[in-house]
Amino acid sequence: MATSQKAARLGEEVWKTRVDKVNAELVTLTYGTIVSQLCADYDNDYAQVNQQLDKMGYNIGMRLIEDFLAKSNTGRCGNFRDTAEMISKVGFKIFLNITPTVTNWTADNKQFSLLFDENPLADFVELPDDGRAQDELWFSNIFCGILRGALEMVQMSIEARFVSDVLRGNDVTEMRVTLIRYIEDEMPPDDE
Amino acid sequence: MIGVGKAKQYANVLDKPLGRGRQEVSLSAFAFLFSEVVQYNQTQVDNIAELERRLEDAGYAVGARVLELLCHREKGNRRETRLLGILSFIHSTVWKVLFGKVADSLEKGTEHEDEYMISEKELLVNRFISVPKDMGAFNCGAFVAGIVRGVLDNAGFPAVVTAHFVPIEGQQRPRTTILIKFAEEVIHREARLG
Amino acid sequence: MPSPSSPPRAHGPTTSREQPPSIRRAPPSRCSRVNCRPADSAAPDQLPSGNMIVCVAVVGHQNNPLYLQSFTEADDALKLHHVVHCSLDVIDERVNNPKRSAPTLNETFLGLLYPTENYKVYGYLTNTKVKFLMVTTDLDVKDADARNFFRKFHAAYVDAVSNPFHVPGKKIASRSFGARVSTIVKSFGSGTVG
Repeated sequence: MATSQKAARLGEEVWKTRVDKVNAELVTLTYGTIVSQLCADYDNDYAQVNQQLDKMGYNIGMRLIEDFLAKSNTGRCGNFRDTAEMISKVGFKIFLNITPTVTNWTADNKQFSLLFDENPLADFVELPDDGRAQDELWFSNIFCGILRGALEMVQMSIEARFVSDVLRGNDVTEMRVTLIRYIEDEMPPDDE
Repeated sequence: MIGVGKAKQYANVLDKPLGRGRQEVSLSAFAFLFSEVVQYNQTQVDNIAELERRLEDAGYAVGARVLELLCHREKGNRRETRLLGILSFIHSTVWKVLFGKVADSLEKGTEHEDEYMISEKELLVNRFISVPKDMGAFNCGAFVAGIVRGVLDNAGFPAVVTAHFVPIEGQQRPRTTILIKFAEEVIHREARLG
Repeated sequence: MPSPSSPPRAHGPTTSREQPPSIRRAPPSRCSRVNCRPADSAAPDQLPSGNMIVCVAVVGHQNNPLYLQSFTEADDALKLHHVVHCSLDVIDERVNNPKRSAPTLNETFLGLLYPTENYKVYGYLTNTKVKFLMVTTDLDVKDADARNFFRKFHAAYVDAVSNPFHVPGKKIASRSFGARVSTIVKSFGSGTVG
């Protein structure tokens, strides 16, 4: 897929040349502190924690998109499939130096999955053994909010949620992303 | 798909290369995350002092873990028993791993025996947070002060650590100084060791 | 935005460390009375060939138990805990009254703490004053093997405490830590390089 390769090359190039870097552990430990702080503040009400993480992500996403557009210097995506490639090969690449796999497209091209085979936010993490965390907490839920906030700023209303997480004992960490609608009507619909 | 070879999930964790701490992410990622930490904590407190304390506590949790990580990785099999040793460890190794550079300076306080200062012209966490005027002297460096306290406390050198802005003549932005005041027992032990 | 009351700088460190119960340490004289369990010599086919670790322990800097795992029959477990208690005395003595010329002054690996008739106890002290203890029935342990063991053990420990949900000072509840320790124990002395 031409877009995929182009996006990958762009992501690599931006990561190598236009990104100031810090040690991943600083981010890992900081994020870990956030989550455990939230769990303490909300008394281990994991549903609330998920929501709060999503909210934080949303706030970040709305500002992160500017940084992304500035660094990647890229124009509008033609369709949702291109968007997916940009998110995985450029977006995640230039911020976290990871490239989750895009897969499991629905026939109408409105829904896809991101498979994370590595996740710097979740290094060293083991969910508490209280019988609930494994079923209720989505540790990396901030990603969902970030995608939602960022894409909203470029006129896409999406829904993102995790469906599985290796921290929960699943085989893979998978996020499902669904396009709800384009916000401005001028945006050409995907007509593959 | 061009992939960067990074540490994968190994079936047997013993296969994980010990040097996996060299991975990097973007500074922006940390910046965004950190500013959310500040924003979130603002909603949980009533005043600046409490905000700084919560940031400091968050930093403490990071510092404690950083110490374990670095001691195992960088120091191999040596333990730190002397004051200057641990300070130098923080000023060089810890700073380098967290912020990509050694701290600008490490100084001993002139007025008090138990005070030391690590200074940074532009502390990472302060670089991208602009504090509104009505928040007075609030210093995000409280987070870093917490990290330093976490390291010192867990290494056996309890101290009170605070972050201060120090205006420098000729410089638009003030310098950040992390002030470390060691507990009495540390000073006494240091004197005993000669 | 919190209302900016004049931000008082004075905020003492909140040492959130609890005072966990210490391991009650038996007076040293009792250690020499650790007797040979009659069944030990009676059933030689029960003793595995090769090196065998019977117990590992992680003890915090206030002698609070953080992890204790025996790899032998339950009857022995009590005695092994006893052995661990006594070892703590030895470590404390070595750390607090170091012979200046001792090579282990600054080292993490403390070496053989004390041998009994049937066990050898090795110790390791991290930079954060956390102690690792390893009790083995092999009376012919090579120094290098013991060091290697602790190196791998330390790596597992660091990963466990880096978990943001681990509460410092509390027992290590991580399942994967337990699994890793079992693997490390099984591969002890068999020459596998970690």
